[in-house]
Amino acid sequence: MPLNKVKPITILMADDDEDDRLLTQDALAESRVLNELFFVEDGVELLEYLERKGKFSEKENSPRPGLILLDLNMPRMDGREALQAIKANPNLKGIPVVILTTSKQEEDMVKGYDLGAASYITKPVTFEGLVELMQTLGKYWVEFVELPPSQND
Amino acid sequence: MQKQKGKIAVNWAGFIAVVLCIVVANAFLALNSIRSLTETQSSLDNTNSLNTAIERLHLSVVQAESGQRGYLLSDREDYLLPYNDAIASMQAQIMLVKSLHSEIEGQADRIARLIHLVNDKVAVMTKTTDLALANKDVKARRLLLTDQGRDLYKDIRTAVDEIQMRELNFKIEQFAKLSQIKNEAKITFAITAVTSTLLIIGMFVLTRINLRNQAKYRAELENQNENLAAKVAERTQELTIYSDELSRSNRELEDFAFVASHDLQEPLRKIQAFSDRLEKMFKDELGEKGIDYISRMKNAAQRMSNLINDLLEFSRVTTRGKDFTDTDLNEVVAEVLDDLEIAIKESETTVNLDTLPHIQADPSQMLQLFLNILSNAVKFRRENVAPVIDIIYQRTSEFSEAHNSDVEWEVITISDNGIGFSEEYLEKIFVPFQRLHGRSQYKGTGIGLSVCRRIVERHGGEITASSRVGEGASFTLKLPVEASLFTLQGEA
Repeated sequence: MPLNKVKPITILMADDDEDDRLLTQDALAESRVLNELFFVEDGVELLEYLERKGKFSEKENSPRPGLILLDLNMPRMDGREALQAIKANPNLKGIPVVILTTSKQEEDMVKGYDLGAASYITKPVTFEGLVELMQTLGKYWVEFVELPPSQND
Repeated sequence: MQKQKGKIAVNWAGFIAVVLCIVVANAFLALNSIRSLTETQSSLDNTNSLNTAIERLHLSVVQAESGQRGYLLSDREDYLLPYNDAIASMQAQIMLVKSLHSEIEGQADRIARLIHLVNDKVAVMTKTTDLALANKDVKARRLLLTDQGRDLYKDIRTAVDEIQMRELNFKIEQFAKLSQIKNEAKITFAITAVTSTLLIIGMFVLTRINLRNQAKYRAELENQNENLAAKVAERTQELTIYSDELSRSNRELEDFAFVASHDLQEPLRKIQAFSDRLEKMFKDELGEKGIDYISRMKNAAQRMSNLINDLLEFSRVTTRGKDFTDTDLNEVVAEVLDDLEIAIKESETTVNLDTLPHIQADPSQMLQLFLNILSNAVKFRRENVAPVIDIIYQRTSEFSEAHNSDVEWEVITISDNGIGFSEEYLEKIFVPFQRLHGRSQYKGTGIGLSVCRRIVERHGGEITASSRVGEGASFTLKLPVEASLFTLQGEA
């Protein structure tokens, strides 16, 4: 899957689960999607990253993401609140947010789309499933989707 | 209460007895007074009559004597006229005196003596007069002069005086008695008046007491009723609290099952994912044995995942149940048969289907119910025997004690010709995760029928089974026509 023409976008993943972060990184590597993957551990960190505050004040540490993978159940600030804050910020609301969670509950799904999520995906059970998901996501959001030019970079 | 009533009855009986006694006593006293009055009056009349009669007799004697004397002195016969009159009336007067009885002791003897004396006197006078008439004047006069006549008269006079005096005394006595009786009557009257007044007062008091007692009992009764109502309210309150508590703890338990099974999935997913990674990345290092262990680990994880999913499904029957709507069971079964199409074709299953009713139900749960039972019927088939499934429907009516009326039921029986089971496991098959066969023989966690039972019970019905080993099994669903009689819709 050569990606010569397009500049790979940065993917930012917000997930409090260390295992999931590790598995996602492995899966991304396996899928050979050449994207940069950054991690934050909860909603508060996510907003700090996006607004370049605290430890994310250096631009190199926090490139503007082209896609956010958002877990719903996180400590301090959960995915719903973080999503709401992102969509309320005119500077950030253009970034597509894909909810990636273990919850299969209908109300979570409905709420997620209501708040402006681009997609709602339940975490795959197997590693193969995760690899496939990362491939598809990379292909879809990197190759096919055209995003408006970012205002910051 | 009973005792008090008894006391009142005794009170009344005693009161009536007292009233009767007083009335009888009063009547007796009054009668006694009247009788005494009558007696005294008649005694007085009697003594008056006697006195008069005696007086007349005395007068007759005097009249006869004076007439006789006038004749003897004048020798004129016309003087004999009063004498004859007196003598003639004397016998009648004697009879009258005899007929009257004096009440005084000894008076009868005196009267008898008087009459005797009068008779003697009459005899002497008659003798004298007869002698004179026969011109034996001298002898007559002598007879007169012998003072026999005068003595007799004296005696008569004394006797009359005595009799009259005694009668007079008697009369005075009687008058005294009369006035005494009058006084007694006054007293009797007073007593009657007083007792009557007392009776009226007694009646009044007793009635008052009675009314007050009645009011007291009524108040007690009302009080008891209030207590009872309060107790009932209290018990109802307790029951409500208890029932609230129960449904709360039930809900908590179901929430717990839901949340627990949901959260259990998370680490399980990790086990599966990392064992995948191990298998992929370190295949050569692990060797054959290592790969086998990992594959067993993955199998176990998969089984646990299935169990958790089934547990979730089981708890969702009540936690995620939907409201009842009009559900066409024909459509439901058609959809289930559609889902099972491949399995039915492969096993060459025949399904004989009655026309089924519309019921008030949760359609997705009805789907699950029929899917579980029908897929079991296909799954547990006999080797080399094409499955035959009969779905029979009928409506029955049964008396329900809880509703005190007849209740209608939709009864649907689903029977197959599969392997069946021994009826000793009848209860076991509806318990979650109870299996009658080894995992290698038939797949599944053993949750299907317990979910069925939960669904049927949520709809106010019941599910029963009957079977014989090697001959097939039959499941009967009994659902109420009016689900609202047996369920609390809106609580789910």
